[in-house]
Amino acid sequence: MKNIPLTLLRDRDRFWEALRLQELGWQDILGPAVFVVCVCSVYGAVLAGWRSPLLSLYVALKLPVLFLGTIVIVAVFNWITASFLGADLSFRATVFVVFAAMTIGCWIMLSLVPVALFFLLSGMPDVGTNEELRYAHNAILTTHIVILALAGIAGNAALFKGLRHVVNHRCSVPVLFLFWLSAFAFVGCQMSWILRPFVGSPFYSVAFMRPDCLDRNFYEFVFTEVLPFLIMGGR
Amino acid sequence: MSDRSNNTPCPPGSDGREDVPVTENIVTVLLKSTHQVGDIIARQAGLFNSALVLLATALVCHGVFGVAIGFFGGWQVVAMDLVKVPLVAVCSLFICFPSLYVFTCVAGAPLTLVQTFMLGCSCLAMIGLLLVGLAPVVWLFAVSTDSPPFMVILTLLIWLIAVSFSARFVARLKSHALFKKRTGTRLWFFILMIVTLQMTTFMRPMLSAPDKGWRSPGKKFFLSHFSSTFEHKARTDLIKSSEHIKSRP
Repeated sequence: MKNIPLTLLRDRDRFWEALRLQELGWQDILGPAVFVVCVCSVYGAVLAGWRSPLLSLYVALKLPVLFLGTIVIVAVFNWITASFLGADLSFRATVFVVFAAMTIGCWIMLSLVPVALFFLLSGMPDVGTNEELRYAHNAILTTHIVILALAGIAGNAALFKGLRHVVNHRCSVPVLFLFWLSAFAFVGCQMSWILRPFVGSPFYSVAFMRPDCLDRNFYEFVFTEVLPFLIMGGR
Repeated sequence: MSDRSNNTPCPPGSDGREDVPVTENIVTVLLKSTHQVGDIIARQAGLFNSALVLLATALVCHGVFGVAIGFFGGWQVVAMDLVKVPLVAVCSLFICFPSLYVFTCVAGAPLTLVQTFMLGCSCLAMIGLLLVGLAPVVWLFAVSTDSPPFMVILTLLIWLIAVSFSARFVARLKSHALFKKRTGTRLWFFILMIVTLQMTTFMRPMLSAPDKGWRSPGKKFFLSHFSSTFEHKARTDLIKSSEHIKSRP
């Protein structure tokens, strides 16, 4: 199949049919993989563009690693759960389904690059008081969260529909989807914690990775710092 | 579908209403028979020219609305808003154009690039036509009030009404098979609104003349800009009332 990313955008049913009929070989994964890497690099460059060109370069390298790394780490788990639930999917098919979902998400990200870039160029002050910088940082962070959430929702919706097309009818698609999504979110959060910073803070110096990136994990941080802070009403 | 004339019956994709002659002006079709725009977009013939006509219409209409707003700040602001308001509209559309294409495709309505351009221009023209309709209302308040927050709220309200009509126009296209799935365009309107608000902030001020050049320097988020408009007014009112108290015998 030629140009899989474009097929996934304009005629997804044809892709699912080809996958179901096992017409796709390992060499076909190159197209979506290159597409995901390129889009993540472009979006990564914009994501950190407000802080410094150096961080922009770092994030352009790190974002593809985050996405592809997460796929690689959960791939075997995805295949095992699919087999366990009787989905009748090969390892290759599970990888293709996940890549297809990620490609859809990347299309959304790519389409919103001009929007993110415009907000970056028009809404982020270069200088200002600490309060102004903090406000701008939070605003750009919210913008990116909304964009990435849209991409995530579109990707997962495609994943859900795709699974319905390709799995055996005896397999419960919602359960399989929930397993895959949980694994992806669980690993993805920790990967992003290790690879931080992505957006960059105006109060920290630019670094490829934080010096304490392997000291704690994402969930320790949430349970020991974020939740107590929220429970205490921000005191 | 592509060769339909006046007398041929509507295709199954249409909702059975009477067809509009192909030769009729695209702006008239947009105003009077919005459902026909779906057929025109699907037909594809001469679509780019129709889109350009709609874009020009949108620019003129936004220009008229700009003039109406500009009266709030005097003739200099009228001249500025005559250019700024259409610029805000067209720049926002171009920034959001990739997302319109991708969102419609992902939602299951794979439009071509020209069809997407036509859809975007139709939406903008619909917003412009509504703004022209409400321009006299804005003009009336612009010449009879000196409260910037009131003008901001009024303009926002009128613009939101225009955008909602445009969204309703896209909803009416669902009679055509190409526009059955509308999740993508709904989401796109949200993106367009946010981008337009930020574009307005980028080209600020719209209600008064800047100290230097054609826009105020500095980068700002739209929420920060709009809230500062209200804060400034509140501060001015406070100063005025304290001066009033001081001046009492």
